[in-house]
Amino acid sequence: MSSAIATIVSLLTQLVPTDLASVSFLSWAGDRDPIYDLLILTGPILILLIALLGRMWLTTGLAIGYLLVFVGHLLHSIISE
Amino acid sequence: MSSSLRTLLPDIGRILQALAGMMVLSIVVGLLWGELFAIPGLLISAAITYALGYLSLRYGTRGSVDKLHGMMVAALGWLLVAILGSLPFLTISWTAALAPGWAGAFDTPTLAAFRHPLNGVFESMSGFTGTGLTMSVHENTLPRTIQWWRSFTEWVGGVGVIVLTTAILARPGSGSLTLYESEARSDKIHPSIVSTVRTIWWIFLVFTLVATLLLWLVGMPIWDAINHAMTGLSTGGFSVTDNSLASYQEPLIEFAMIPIMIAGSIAFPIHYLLLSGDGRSVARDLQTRWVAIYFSAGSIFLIGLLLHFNTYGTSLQSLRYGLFQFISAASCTGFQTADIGGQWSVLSQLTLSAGMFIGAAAGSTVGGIKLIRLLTLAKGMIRRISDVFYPESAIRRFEIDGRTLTDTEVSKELEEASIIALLGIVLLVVGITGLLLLVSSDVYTLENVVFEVASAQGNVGLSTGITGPAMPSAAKFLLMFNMWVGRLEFIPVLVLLRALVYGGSR
Repeated sequence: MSSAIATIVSLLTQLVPTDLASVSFLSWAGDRDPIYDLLILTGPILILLIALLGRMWLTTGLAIGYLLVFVGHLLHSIISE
Repeated sequence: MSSSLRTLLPDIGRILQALAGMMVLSIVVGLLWGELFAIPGLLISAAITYALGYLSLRYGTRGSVDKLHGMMVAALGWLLVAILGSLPFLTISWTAALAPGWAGAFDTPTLAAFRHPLNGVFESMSGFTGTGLTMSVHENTLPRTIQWWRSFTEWVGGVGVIVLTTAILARPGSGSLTLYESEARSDKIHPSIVSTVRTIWWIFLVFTLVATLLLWLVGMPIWDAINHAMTGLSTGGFSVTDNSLASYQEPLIEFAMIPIMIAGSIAFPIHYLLLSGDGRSVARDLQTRWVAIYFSAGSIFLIGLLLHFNTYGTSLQSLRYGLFQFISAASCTGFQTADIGGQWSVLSQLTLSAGMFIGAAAGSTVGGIKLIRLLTLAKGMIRRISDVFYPESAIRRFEIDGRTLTDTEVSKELEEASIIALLGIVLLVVGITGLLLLVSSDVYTLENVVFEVASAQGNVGLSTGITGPAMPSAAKFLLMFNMWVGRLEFIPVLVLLRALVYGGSR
């Protein structure tokens, strides 16, 4: 799972123009955890979506999902370590 | 120009260029919110700052980066950042005054306060040092661009302007480490300092995004959530609302802010271990354990005081305000939900003052003298007393934070902790004496003054109401000095002042 996400993040950082702030930040920051990298990539997009659409079931669901991925991955890393 | 000053210029120049970059980046906010009147001000501010940075680089000479150099760069760099960081306040407020048709409803008395340069410098110093004391009376009436600039200064200042500069404009050679250490940081995450500071920003960004979404989910509007996530995580405490977090009157928001403030109180290397899944090392870390103990014990004590003095009608209210305010004070964040100056007992105020003076973990975004120094001093005292009971030939180990120290190291650690603690107390007393002379004793009590100075020096931002645009100019200078020395842990500023008096001779 982790390696698949690492591949996706790596592909994104290669395919998406580096003037996209979060992508260029990741290539600048170096190799880190791919799940957190994915959260850095998707976080600003989600915030933009919330700013545009407001509080609705879709944005609320996505924000809950985002936090669950963060907490879930954090706990998973601690337990598996 | 003296040769020692010229060697500081290249590093100062890079810091100023990074600051100019922050101003240019903030233009996006003005464009997004349609606040076009704010853009010329930001452009002028960025141009002046960049030009000064360019001139510093052009006319500076490279010299060796020793401890003296690092401390002088840190002290002077932070002072210049505070002064030049006030330009957006000054230029945008004057644009609003000179072109009221363009600025629309934003030309309010709150924005007008920034037409006085000293108020802008105060706000900027408070922002970059992560203090949060403010010259804004009604923050919600400020243009979004100014709201953003305030939050942005705290967000960057929480990690450190030198950390920012090192991350994006790395100094060649070994100088980066000396500069990094002069900004009250010592722990490294990676062997390379550039890699360490980039990881610090990576951690900070992950947490800021998570904090933003958490605050939005518990009911904050998204703009407020972005700003409060930035100022909460950096333990700064600026708000975009009139009465800080009290404006929401929502316990859920206050409880959601608590883990964010705690995250800001924990050292970045520990965050890195946590994100890497190394929970055991986190649990073993002395500072982190003591942050947990200190926050719990302090909150319980404060809640007990609120209950004892019957400050609130119900025990649930005491729990809510006591827990939030102690963590806000001890984490040096400064979000305020209670009328501390008017409603709380003297003992409750002094408990918060002590929390603000101590702070939390070294290597985090907090101010204060830091818990680890207090622990070192306490262990050192116990050792000195128990030494009497052992024969002189006895070999005793001194362990702190998992490290066994030699006698020389013990002396060095104790000396450093004692000097910082003593300087903290001396400068606090100087600040209290000065402020007592400057503000009316009919309106403000001694505990109010102690609280305000402890808040400024601990880079907290809680206020008993003394700080504001109407405060005497001398009092503004005094609190700015306390913020400046507090952020850099005293010594670099005193080194700079000594160098200014004696011309940098050893």
